[in-house]
Amino acid sequence: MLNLIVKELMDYVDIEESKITEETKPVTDLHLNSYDYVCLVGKLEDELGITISESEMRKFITLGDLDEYIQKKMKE
Amino acid sequence: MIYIVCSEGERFVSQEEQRTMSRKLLRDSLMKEFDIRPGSDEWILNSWGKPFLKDQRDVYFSISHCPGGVSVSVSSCRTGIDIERVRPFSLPAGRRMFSKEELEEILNSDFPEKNFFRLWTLKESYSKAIGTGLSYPLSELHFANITGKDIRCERTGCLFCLFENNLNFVTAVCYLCRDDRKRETVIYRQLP
Repeated sequence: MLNLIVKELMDYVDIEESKITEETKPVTDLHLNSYDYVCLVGKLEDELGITISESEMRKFITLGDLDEYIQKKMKE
Repeated sequence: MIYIVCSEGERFVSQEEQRTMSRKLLRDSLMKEFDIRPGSDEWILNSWGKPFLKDQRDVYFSISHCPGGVSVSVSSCRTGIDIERVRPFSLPAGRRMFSKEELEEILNSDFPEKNFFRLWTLKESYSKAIGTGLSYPLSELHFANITGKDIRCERTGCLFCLFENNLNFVTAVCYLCRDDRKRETVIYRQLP
């Protein structure tokens, strides 16, 4: 799942894909602005057919957090 | 003091260029407004990652950048700034961050794209002023009259200003104090 998140993320950042890990913080490390971050989450929702609530979205610090949440959501 | 630099060409496309310019603007405005030149060890981050100056309790700042635009707000009260280029917007992003009424008003307006980013930057400027960024539930913050000069927000104790230019950038600034911030110096630069 992390691969898909990174693939979508690459539309918004200019960094080598290989440097992105589950520990990467999209806002503080990659300087993703809030609009792009919200658009990224929206694209993942569309692609995976899931809904990520605003309150949940606010809890993600790292890409690993987002990955873990999506995996859990996909099993529901 | 508010610094806004926009480019109609290919400037500030990369994030590195945007960061370099925003750091320069911040240094310049801190020097001009407060006569301070902080060293690299004088910055601290709050728990949401917002930078502050150590030992400078009355100096607040906020920076924002997007492809083609960089903005900085420096003030003696808590401030947040957000800049976006007006462009086709993401409806799911609007549904997430705007109320149903706000979104309807935008979609039915004469300039939906401009109004979308007016509202977006206003909300974002507030979340940056309070220092939480996206951690704040922006869908619970409501505005009225965003196309007029007297922008109204349900939150008390804050003042909002919107700046727009003919290069299609919208910049919103929030101050968490109610004095006359309309006299704030605004430096606008347009680059080729």
